[in-house]
Amino acid sequence: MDELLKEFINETRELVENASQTFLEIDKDPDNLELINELFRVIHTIKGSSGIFEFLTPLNKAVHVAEDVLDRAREGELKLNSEIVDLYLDLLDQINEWLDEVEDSGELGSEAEEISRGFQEKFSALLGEKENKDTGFEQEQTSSQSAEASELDLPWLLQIEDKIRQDVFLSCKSDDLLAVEYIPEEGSFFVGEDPILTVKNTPSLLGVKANFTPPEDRESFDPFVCKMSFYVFTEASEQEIKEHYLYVEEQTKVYSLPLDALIFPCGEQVEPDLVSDFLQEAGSFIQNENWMELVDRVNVALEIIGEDTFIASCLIWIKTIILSQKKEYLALVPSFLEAIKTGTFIKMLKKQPPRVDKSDSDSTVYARELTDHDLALCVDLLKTQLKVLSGTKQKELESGVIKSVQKVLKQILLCLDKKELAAEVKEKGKDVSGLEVLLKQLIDDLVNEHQNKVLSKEEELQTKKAPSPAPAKPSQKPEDKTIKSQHSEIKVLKVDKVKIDALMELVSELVVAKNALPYLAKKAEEVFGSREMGRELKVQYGTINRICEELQNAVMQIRMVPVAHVFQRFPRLVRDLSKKLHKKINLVMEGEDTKADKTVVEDLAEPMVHLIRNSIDHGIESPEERKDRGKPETGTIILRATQLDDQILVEIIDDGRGIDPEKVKRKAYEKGLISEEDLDKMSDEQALQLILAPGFSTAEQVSELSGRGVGMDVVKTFVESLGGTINILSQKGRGTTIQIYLPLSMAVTRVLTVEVAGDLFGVPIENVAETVKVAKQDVKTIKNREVIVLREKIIPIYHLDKLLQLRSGQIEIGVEDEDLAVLVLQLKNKELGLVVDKFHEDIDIILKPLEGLMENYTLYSGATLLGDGRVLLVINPKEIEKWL
Amino acid sequence: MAIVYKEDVAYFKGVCEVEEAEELLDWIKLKNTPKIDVSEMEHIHTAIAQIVLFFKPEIIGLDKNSFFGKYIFSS
Repeated sequence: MDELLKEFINETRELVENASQTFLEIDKDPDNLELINELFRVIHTIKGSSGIFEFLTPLNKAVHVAEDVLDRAREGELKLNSEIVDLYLDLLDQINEWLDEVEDSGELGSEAEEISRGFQEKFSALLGEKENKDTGFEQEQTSSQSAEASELDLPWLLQIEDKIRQDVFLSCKSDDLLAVEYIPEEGSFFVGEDPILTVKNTPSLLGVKANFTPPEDRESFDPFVCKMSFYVFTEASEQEIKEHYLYVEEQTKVYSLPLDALIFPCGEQVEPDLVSDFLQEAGSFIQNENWMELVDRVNVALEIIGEDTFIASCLIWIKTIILSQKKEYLALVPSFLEAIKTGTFIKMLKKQPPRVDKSDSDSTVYARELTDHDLALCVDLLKTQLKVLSGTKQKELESGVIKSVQKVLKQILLCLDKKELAAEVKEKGKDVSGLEVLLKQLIDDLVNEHQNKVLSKEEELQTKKAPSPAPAKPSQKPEDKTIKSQHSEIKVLKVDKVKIDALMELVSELVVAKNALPYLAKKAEEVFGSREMGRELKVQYGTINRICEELQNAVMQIRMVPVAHVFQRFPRLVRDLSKKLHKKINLVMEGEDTKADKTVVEDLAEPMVHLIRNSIDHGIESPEERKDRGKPETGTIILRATQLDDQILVEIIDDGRGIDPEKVKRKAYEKGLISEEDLDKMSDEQALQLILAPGFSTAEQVSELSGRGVGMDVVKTFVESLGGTINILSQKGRGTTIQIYLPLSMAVTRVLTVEVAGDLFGVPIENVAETVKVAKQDVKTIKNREVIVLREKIIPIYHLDKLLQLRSGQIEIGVEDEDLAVLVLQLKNKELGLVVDKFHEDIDIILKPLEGLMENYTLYSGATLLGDGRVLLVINPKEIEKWL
Repeated sequence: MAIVYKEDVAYFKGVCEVEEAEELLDWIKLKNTPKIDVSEMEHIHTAIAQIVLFFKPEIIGLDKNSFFGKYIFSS
């Protein structure tokens, strides 16, 4: 299967699982906006990634409408009640089914389209009249950004050179356009992105501003770290842009802006004296609408004035506007003329009526209403000027500073429409102290005038770190983002399970290989007579051994996963089943963080599902029944995981009706599982274990949920195949506890090695109760069987050599008075002794199951290689009874 | 190979993929006055563009009205 598709399936499975969890939480807390937002993100991601695959369109469409509904919920227009949650859970189930289909056959089934339509209709019904509304997410984003744009609070726009803005202005056919801020992630090349190609292929592209922020020195330059960012102007619809930048959605911001937002001059300020002739003539050309003549004059003026100056920029804009033949923008030409004269461009926004300045009725001054934001900026600027003045210590710099502050102050005053004061700046503020007085006075005026508003805005600005209005200063925004992305390094790696298994395999081979070193050392000493060599080998072995152990531990840790992986699916199961059976159940999960080997945890799921179903179906009573018995209406099921030494204990505890041992015994007797004799003798505890016997079902009626052929015996077999045990405790009327003991890890088994007839065998350490030496005369015979008495307990003993037919025909070695080495095995309900020749050390091994002919010898659970190359067969104590 | 190297000039031809960036980087680091000829270039990957922008080699045959001419190598 395609790698991308595989990745999609894995990821989506995880997302679906997460979403299911969150929906269950939402069910309890439907107003939790945080949860709704989280869900929205998850559903949005599924929608986005499924869109890559064309054959997944039915899935994509269904998720799309589901996302719309969530959006309404986000807006508070819709409450996610239990029915809606049900619908979502159904959809998530369906997505899982679809994923299975895709995994099996590489495509969706023929009925997918119809199922999808069903979901779409259901979700659309929730949307009601607003069904056809566009998805809200992008809309919300744009509307807020449009508002931003209309205030022209787009500091990055100042970075865009005249040439680009003019090109965009000329080629744009409508009055509005979109700007896409695209800051690719630094590692984007590694996920197959080519940002330039993405930008280049932008639909209806009008212009691009590309930024490149490389490191300063050659050594740290890495062409594979993306250091480019883009501002892309386009005439395409928002939908088109959304689709085009779908895969890099999080790296982009879309702004909708009016075309006139692009129109402003920039460049170095120069005195307008050089173009005074032009200024004189231009007014009349404008009045007479003699535009082409004006263009000629502009061209002449451009030859006089230097490039890249503020005046040249104004002139080119005048020319651009006239040549664009966009008549509605001609009204801006006088603003440019004014800008050339005053050095300040005050644009009359299209939708605002021109304001006639009463103080100077001869000339019409176009200005826009200053917003609080502008005023705050003015105050900010004025304060900066004060700082600049107070910071001037060197005399030779003073005059320059004064000039600069004068200029800023004058322009601010012009902006504030205080022309008289502006005219007085040069005189009143000819020295530092004079300027300081002027500045302070103006600040006070402004602050007093708009005290409340300004102050609040100022605070806001401080937190926002308002961009400086100086056109030359680029925005900090892109840099901030870059820094952010540097921190978002990958912390979690997803690795294919097969690779981890392969690693484990290699580690086990290494363990075996390293075990050969002590033998080699021995050989060096004994065969080659070099003690020194032997010693060195042993030292080396010590080091390799330590590293090996650490490596093994590390790999094991990778495989350890919390049982939460299994537990998390149960809230959904309990919710669904309790609804179906009209029971009230509270599920409590404890110790979800307990970790165990991945295989163990994964395999745990199946038996647990069965056990929980049993608890809900047979254990917990109906609310009425519970009430009658004086129990709370809501039953409780506790799932608990506890870590023991080298095992984990998983318990499923319910406070339901419990199991009646008498009923179990009778049933077992009826089914012929026990004899009449057993019926009387059997203890309650033993009786309970009967339900684990094959072909046993106590439920009077086989319900839809449990008792469909999968009995407890299957659960038992399952648990035992994992190397675990299962135990049942129950009190009639009080509840049932099922305990499952599982090994923490299946990868490494600790075995005690014993020698029999010259061969070594392994016995899993967890089954070894003790090892004892018994004098031969202490072996008694009861009913023709050899037994020993150990702490007043009779333990039958068997000779392993005979059991394994190892010494047939040979004379038993050992002298009459020698003690017998007895290995006492702890089996489920009893102990038995195995007579061996010798006990050896216990070792960690990686057990390999037997294959081929040996597979049928269930007496052995597997084999492993010893350091010296010998094969160690490991005895399976659970099966040993069958072979006796 | 979409990049052909001849002495001090690297000829970009057709579409130059990211795989060619490393070789270009090694080449350009060794040259005192590297030049690139883009007259037959259709597209280059961003990684390659970054090398060009960083080392600023002399660019030959750049169509000022092409996407790269207007927006990427304009300054």
